[in-house]
Amino acid sequence: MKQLLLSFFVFFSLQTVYGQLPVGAPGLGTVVSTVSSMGRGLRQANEAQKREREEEERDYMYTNFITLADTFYNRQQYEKAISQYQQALSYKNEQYPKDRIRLATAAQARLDGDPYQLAVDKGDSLLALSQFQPALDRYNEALALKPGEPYPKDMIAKTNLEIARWKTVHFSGLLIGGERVDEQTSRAFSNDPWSDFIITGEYPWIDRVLTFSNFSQLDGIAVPANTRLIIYSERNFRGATLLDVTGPAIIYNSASMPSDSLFTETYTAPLLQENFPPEVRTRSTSDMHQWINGSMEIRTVK
Amino acid sequence: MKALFTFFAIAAVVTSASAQNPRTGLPVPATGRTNIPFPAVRFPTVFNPGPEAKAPDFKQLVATGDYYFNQKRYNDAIDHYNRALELQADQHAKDQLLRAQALKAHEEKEMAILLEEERKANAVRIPQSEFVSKTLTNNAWKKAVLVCDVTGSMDKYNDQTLVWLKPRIEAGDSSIRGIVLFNDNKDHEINMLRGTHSFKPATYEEAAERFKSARKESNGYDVYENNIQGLLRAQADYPSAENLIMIHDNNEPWDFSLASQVTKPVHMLVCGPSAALEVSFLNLARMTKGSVHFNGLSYTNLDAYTEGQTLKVDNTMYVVRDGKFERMN
Repeated sequence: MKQLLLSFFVFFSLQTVYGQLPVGAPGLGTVVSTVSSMGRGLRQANEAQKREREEEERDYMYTNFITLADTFYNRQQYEKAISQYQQALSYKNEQYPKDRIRLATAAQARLDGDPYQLAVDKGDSLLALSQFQPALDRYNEALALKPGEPYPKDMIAKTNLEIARWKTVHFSGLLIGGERVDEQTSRAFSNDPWSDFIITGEYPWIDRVLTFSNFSQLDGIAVPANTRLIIYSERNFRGATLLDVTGPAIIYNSASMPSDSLFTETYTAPLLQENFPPEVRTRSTSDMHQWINGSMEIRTVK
Repeated sequence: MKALFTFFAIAAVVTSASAQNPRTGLPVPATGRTNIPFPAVRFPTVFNPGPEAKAPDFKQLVATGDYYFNQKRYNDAIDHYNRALELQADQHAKDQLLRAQALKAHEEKEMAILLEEERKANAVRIPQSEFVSKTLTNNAWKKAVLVCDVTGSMDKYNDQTLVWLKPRIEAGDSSIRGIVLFNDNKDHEINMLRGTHSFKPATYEEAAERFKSARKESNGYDVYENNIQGLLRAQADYPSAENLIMIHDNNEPWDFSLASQVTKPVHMLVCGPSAALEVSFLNLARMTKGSVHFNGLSYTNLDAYTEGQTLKVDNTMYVVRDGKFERMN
């Protein structure tokens, strides 16, 4: 009896330290809630372990199906590959199997000689060669065959953007060449983080117009055909004329000492090579870094 | 054993005095959670079995960076792209990082330019005590008619107008073709002859007297002022005038529907500092190729503003929509 009383007092005297239970009147409700909270904790721990096991199992199954699907894909057994990627998707909703299903579907269609797929492929090839109008024609052809498909619509929008870009003047914080090489050259009329594309207009202060090309420092300008660019040394079209050029032309900042190879290289993209042969590539007469303090006019010439 | 029993018994009694009673004394839960009476401290391994928060992976960091980039929160975007690039090299994240840095620098530069412009504008801001006289002196409008609001709120500004007029009347200056005074009209009745007074003063005293007598007709209903009827009267009475100079307060004219009949450039001296310039005056200046002078600053070439272009007047922004200025804030 004494021992029972002793344990009783030990228990409740310790609880008072926590300040949560009264010594005199613990009550049945308190005891029940205490036990149930412990039970809840244990149940939650158990559920968490179960979730972890299930996740591991899902990972395992997903990886297996992906490995199998990739094997089928590489053996050009596209239908089987698609089925395995779909199985993988049922375990994990990842982007990779979705992309691979799209590729496998296209590859299968190609094998079957599907006219939609052939038109899309042709459009992609032409776009890669910067042949914008023929590419547009192929995408429109594909869209007519499958009006619900988003891909040709996206590609038409992309092609139109490319066409619009070729009507602007390209300013770059890097030298402009035939290929993009990070920190060295921008590919003419291709979007990169060093380039601004400015439309026809009058700009009283160049520094306010350029965002990306003057974040580093202006080093290259590409002017398309039928476009005239005039740069003045001061704001509001005053001061000396630093540049007055009608495109096609590429101007390199002489202060950045562009290598001779830039003036002689043959661009791999036919459109770039046709528009900007070595004869139209020149050095600036002064440091282009200072040009942003002036103003400019971009005009369309017929 | 007895001693131990006694010790625990006393300890229980003593400490129970400071114990909280769960039925009455427990603090009210502030978070909405059920208060768990025991144990007071949650043991992390048994009672908090939930998984620890995982650090965001590369894809999440890039996606969040893109989100912040699109929201123009460039600092947050830069932070996320940097963290993503620490995990994995990626062209998109690298490009976006450079773009975000460039855009942030551009924004900072634009902000500095705007602040500098504001500082310069404030340096040339004309104080209200000289607003009318200095604006009239600085802008030598030729062949002009003065169209003046003579309601009560305009008294001190009309004094400035008279001070500016005095030497010009005495010198026989022909640049002011005439003066039209207008007040308010509580009936909302369009009647150019009732609410307006038109004259060409021969002497300064005559001008002062006409201002005084027209002022007496004011009803004190400031919001019913006959601005546009005053302009139309000036246009009709002085056809050779090339400019109309309207000196008035910042209340929307109730007769603005007649504004399309005004064909001569209107230069408005909007008196009294106000929270926001009444947008109809900007539109009137835009329609007539005139100008607005408000709170000590001048706003010209308003007709050159194109669709979507914004104008800041003090702390208020205006934007051109459907060919008209609209207040933005």
